[in-house]
Amino acid sequence: MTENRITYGFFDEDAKKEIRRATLKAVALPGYIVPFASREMPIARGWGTGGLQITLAIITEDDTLKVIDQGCDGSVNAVNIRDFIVSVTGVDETLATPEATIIQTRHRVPEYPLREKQTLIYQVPYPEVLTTVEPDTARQKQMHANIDYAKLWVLLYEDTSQYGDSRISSRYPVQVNDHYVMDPSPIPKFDIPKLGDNPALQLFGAGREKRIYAIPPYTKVAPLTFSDRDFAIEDFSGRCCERCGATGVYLDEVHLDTGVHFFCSDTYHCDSCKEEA
Amino acid sequence: MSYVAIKGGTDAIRQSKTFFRRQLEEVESISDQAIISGLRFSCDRIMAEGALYTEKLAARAMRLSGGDLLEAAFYVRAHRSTCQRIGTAADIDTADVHILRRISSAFKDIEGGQILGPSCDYVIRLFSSMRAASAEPPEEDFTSSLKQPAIRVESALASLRADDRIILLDNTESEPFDVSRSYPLPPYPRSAVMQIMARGETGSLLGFAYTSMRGYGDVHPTIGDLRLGMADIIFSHPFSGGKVHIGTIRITACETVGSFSRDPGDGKLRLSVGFGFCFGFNETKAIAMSILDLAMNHTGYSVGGHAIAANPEIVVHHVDAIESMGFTNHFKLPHYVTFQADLHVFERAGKNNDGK
Repeated sequence: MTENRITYGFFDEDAKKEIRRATLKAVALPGYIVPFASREMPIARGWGTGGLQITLAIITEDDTLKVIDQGCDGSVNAVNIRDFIVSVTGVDETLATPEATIIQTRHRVPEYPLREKQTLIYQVPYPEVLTTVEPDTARQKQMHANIDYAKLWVLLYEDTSQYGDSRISSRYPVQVNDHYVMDPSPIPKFDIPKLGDNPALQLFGAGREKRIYAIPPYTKVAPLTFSDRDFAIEDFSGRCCERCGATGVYLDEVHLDTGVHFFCSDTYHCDSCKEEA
Repeated sequence: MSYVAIKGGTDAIRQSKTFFRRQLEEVESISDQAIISGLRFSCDRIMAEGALYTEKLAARAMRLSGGDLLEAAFYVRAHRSTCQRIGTAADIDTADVHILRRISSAFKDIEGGQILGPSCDYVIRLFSSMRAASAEPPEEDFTSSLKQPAIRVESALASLRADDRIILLDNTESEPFDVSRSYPLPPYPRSAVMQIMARGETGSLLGFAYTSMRGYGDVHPTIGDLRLGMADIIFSHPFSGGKVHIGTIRITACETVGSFSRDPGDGKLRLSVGFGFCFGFNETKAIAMSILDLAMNHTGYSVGGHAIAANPEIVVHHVDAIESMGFTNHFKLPHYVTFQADLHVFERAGKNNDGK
């Protein structure tokens, strides 16, 4: 009975309007986290409901959708989310990064460079970068307003003094437009340099934590690093994808009885490299 | 190789869903009515935590989830996201509800009387006693009282209130917050916190409330008035503007008395009171909620504002099971990319450390 009455994009129009308003505010204040009501979705909290809500609020009939999880279009959760979005919108779907107008992603920025008029929507588990050093929401807000990131710097310093570098592997804190420091979602450090000066619009949705934030196109984004230390990304030098031969991409490490193997994390990129070869 | 395995995702998901449905096939032999009536406390939890009063969908959710209450409430919440809000019903005055059960542990004699109603409080939990209890026919039809018109029964704390001996919290909100339309930032309006708790998971509320009574707080609650009953929902007609009775819901409400403290208003000593309320009959939840309300709004007890249950940041963000359950389960999703990044940082730190 209820299945037949689902509206375009699942939500009622008031819900879409509220999410769009929060998104517009987020775009106007790069890196600032905007609270929103965050509806419960038919997929579980923590499974991409924030990204999903943004996608459903902004998607139109003309859009072409791509959904990836860990860089892969075929991953179970990506398949599930893409099927759901298509079932409530009827939009075209694609695996090809350049063909997509909306890309919803979990934990990766696609290898293929993004262009203008593309929107990359990140699924975010922890939107507040300060949570690890300051769990109180009211104090976090004050610290952001004062550009007071001393506690984060101390955290980075303590790690660097003990381990030679920060222990943060993914979700590396970045400063946007010289003001707000934000959590870029659990993308690896490898993807951090792609955030800044990107022609595409980047939106971040945290469903459980009820926050939306954004990096508008061509915005300055810089990881927090000490002036005498380089920002070190994952090192895959001397390795290539065993399937397509690509280098300079993020690789998944696979342990099998034949030893350790490396494959592209971005499956579209892997497929297109293989076709070219 | 991993790539090939992942590409099979679509088919694997389909098979897994079918497998799940098939193992629950026998649930179809249980009727909606059997669930609504015979498993009513499950339905009540699903409706309260699903934040939508709908017995029929609760029963359906129960069936779809194979009786997993967290999952069932999740179905109801997801459905709720598709429903347009058309307005706000009139306030429910708990003194006006059609009472089925109402007790006070604060006073022996109360205006309106102690009404035990249906309760499992005095059931001896022995499997063998079940048959004996069901064999005895009830002396009279206990639902007969519901056929009579409701009588207004004031809270058992009404006399203390009339004597000006209870702290009245400042109410600066012109209308209640609606957490389903926007999300509050600190300092959290009390109405928002109450809504979050009313939608909260019984077990989570209970756990946090228990910390306050047992060791990490100093709330020594006395149940001033606990009532279960039917509340009429009155709505303004969108065209005529007239008052329309659109339905009757079952509710639980609880007022709990804490210690006395200095009233922030005039400095006089008064008693503190907390309030709990939820859809359906769920006494444990209403009591736990009233204790948390008490702990958060009257922090002047021995451990001050530092108790876990006295901290709205703890309560507001940690009692919703749709969220905590979803997030806990999300750890089953692939984390190949982040784990790979973890390993790189780990190896680098190892190299840096070996040099020392």
